[in-house]
Amino acid sequence: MKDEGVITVALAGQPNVGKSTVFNLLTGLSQHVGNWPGKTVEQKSGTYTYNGTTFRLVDLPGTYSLTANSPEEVIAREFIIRERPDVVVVIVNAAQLERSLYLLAEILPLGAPVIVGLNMTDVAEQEGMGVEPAVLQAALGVPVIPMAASKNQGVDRLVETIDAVARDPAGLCVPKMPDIRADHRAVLQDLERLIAGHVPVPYPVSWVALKLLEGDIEVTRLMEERLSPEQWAQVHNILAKHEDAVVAVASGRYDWIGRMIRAALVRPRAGQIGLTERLDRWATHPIGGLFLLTGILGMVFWLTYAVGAPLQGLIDTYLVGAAADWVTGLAAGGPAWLVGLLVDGVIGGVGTVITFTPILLIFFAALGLLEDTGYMARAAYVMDRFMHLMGLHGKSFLPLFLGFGCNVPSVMGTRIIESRRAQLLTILLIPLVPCTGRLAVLAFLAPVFFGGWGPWISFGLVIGALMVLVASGVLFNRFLFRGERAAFIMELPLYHVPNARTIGLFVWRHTVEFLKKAGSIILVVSVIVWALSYFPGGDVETSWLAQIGRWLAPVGTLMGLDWKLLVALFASFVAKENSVATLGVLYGAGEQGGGLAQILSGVVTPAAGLSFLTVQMLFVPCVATVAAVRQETGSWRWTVLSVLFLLVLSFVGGVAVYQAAALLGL
Amino acid sequence: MLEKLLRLVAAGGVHSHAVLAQELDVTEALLDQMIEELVRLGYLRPVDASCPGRCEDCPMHETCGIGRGSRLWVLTERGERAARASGAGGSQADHG
Repeated sequence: MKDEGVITVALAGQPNVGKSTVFNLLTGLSQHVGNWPGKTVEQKSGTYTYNGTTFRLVDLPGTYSLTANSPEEVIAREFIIRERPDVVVVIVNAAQLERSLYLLAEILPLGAPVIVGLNMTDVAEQEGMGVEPAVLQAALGVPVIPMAASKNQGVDRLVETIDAVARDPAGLCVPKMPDIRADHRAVLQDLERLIAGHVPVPYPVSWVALKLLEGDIEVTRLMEERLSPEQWAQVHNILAKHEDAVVAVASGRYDWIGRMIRAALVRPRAGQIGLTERLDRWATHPIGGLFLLTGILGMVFWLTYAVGAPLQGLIDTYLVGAAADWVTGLAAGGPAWLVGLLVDGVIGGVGTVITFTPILLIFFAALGLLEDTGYMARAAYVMDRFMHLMGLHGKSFLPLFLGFGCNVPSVMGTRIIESRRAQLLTILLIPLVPCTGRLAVLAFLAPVFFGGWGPWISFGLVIGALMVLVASGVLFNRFLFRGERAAFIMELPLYHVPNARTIGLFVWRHTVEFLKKAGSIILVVSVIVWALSYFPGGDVETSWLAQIGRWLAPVGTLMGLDWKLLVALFASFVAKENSVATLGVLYGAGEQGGGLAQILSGVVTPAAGLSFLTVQMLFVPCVATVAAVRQETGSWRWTVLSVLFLLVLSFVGGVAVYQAAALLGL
Repeated sequence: MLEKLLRLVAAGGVHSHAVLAQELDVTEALLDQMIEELVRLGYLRPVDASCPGRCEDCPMHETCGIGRGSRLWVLTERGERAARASGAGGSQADHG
C-alpha cells in the first residue's frame, strides 16, 4: 500500500462490460474526472470506505487488450506496471466470456493481484448460458465474483473480496497464467536471459520478453534504448529468426482461454441447439450434404415436369394453337408469304418459346426459394469440395450458381472474385452451367424424345454437364493455371423463413425479362430463320437455310443430327430458346397445328435426340454471354479460347453420345 | 491453437466456421476472436470486403441473396508460410 491506510484499486475491463456501472456504484458522488497525465484520454477516479479503510478506485480506459496500438491500452498497462495498484479488478462479461478473457490473459502476467468481476450474469442466463464461478476460480487461481451490477447484485461481495485480497494477496491470488506455445519456450527463455538486468523496474522481465516477441513498438523502443548496440543486435537477431513468434504468444493465450471456457462455461442443452445447427448437420455433411443438394435439384426437375409440362401443353393448345388458327383464318386470301411469316415465323417460333413460361416460373421460384432461405450458402460449401479440385474457392460458386438463372450476370458476377486466375477459370466454366434457357429447351424436348423417361434423362444430362464442368475445371487448373490452391474459412448465415414477396418479385422480374426477350430478339431471329427457310421458293427443303444446313451436314452426321437440328443448334447462339423456335419454324409447327412436340417425336430418333440435347448442354453460350466474357476478361484471346473449347467439347460429346446410343439400339 | 487453425485452413478448400470450431474444440465465439486476431496479424484476409456496397452498380445485385450474410476469409501468403513452418513441429504444440 502506498498511501498509509489507502488501498489503490484499478478497475480494468473491455468496453461494454459494465465497468462504469461498477465504478459508479462504488464511488457514487466522490468521483473526480480529469485527463490522464499528458494525454487527452479521460481519467476517472473516486473513493469509498469499507471496514474503516479508504479505497481509491481508478477507472482504467476500456480496452480489448494491452498492446501498444492505442493510447488507452498504453495508459492501462502503464498504470498497472508503474503505479502497482494493490488490487486490479478485471470486469468480464459473462455473456461474452471468450472475448473478455483475452484482456485477463494479458493482465495476469503483469504481476498485480487480480480479482475477476464476472458481470452480466443475468444477461448470460437470459441467453441460455451459464458460467460456474467456483470452477472458473479454481481454473484461474484468482477470486471470481459473480455480479449483475446493473441490478446492484454481487457488488457487496466484490468489496469484501477487494479488502481481503489487499490484505493477503499472496494467499488469495495464485494465478494460473497463459504460457507461450511449447515450441517457443526456449526462445522466450533466451530472450529473458539476454535482457535480464537491463529491464527497468518495475517492468516484469518475462512480460517484457513476451512483448518483444509480439513486436510491441513501445517495449521494443524501451529495450533498444536500454541495451548496448551489441546486446540489442543479439536480441534483434532472435526476433528476426522468429517473426511468427507473435502467433505463438497469442496461441498460448487462446489455449488458456479455451481451457477456461471448456471448464467453466455451461453450454446449452441438446434440446436448445438452434435450428440452423440442426439443419446444417445434414446440409453441410460431406456426403449427406451432396445427396441433399442432388435431391433438391431432382425435386426441382420433378416439379417442373409434374406441374410445368401440363401447363405448357395447355398454353400450346389453347393459346399458341388457337392463335395460329385465328391468324390463318384472318390472313386467308392474303399472300402465302404473309401467312407463312405470321404463322410459321412468328407464332411457330415465338409462340413455342412462350410455352416455356410455366417451366421458367418454376425454375425461378425454386432458385428464389433456395436463396431466400439461406440454403444457397450451404450448397456453395458442399460444392466446394469439387471447387477445391478445380483450384477454386467457395466464392466462385456464387457466380457459377447464378449461371443456372442466366450466364450473363453470372459472368459479370465474377468481378467479386479477387484472384485474376480464379476469375478467368470461373468464366471458362460458367457456360457449362445450364442456364434457364438451356434447361427450358431440355424440359421441352426430353419428353418429346424419351416420353416418360424425359425427367430422368434431363436430370442425368444436367448432372453430366456439371461433371464435365468439374472435369474441365480440374484440367484447366492443372494445365492452364498450374494447379494453384486456395484455402478459405466460410461462415454460413442463419437459415431464415423465406419471404413470399421477395421471391414473388424475383420470379416476376425474371419472367418479365424472359418475355421481353421473347418479344424482341427471339422474334427477330424467328423471322430471319423463317425467311431463310422460306425463300427463294417457298419450300423449306429447297430454301437458303437448307443449303447452309446441308453444307454443315457432314459435321452433323457423326452426331446423328440432320441439317434442321444443326441449324437449330446454331440459332441457339443468339438465344438458347431459339433452338426450339427454329425447330418450330423448320418443322412447320404453327402451320400443322399439331405442336412441335408431336412432330418431332415422329421424326427424331431417341439417339439423335440424346445427341442433340447433349450438344445443346455443352454448346457455345448465347451471344450476350460471349459479349460478357469479352467484357470481363478484357481479352479476345480468352473469349476465342472459351468459344473454341465449347465447340470442340460439344462436338466430341455429341459424337460420343450418339455413337454409344446407336450401339445400344436407341 | 492459432497454428492449428492455420494448419487446418492451409490444408486447402473451404472450411465451415462451425466445423472448424468443433475440430479445435472451441466455441464459435472464440473461433471468431481467433480469426479476428489472425486478420489483425496478417495471416488471414477477409474476402468479401470487395463488395462495393452500392447495389445498383453491382452485377450481382438482383440475386445477391446467394451467400447473403456469409463471411469469407482467405489464408494469406504469410499465413501459408506460418502454417507450413508450424507443421514441422506442430503436433507437440497441439498437445502442450
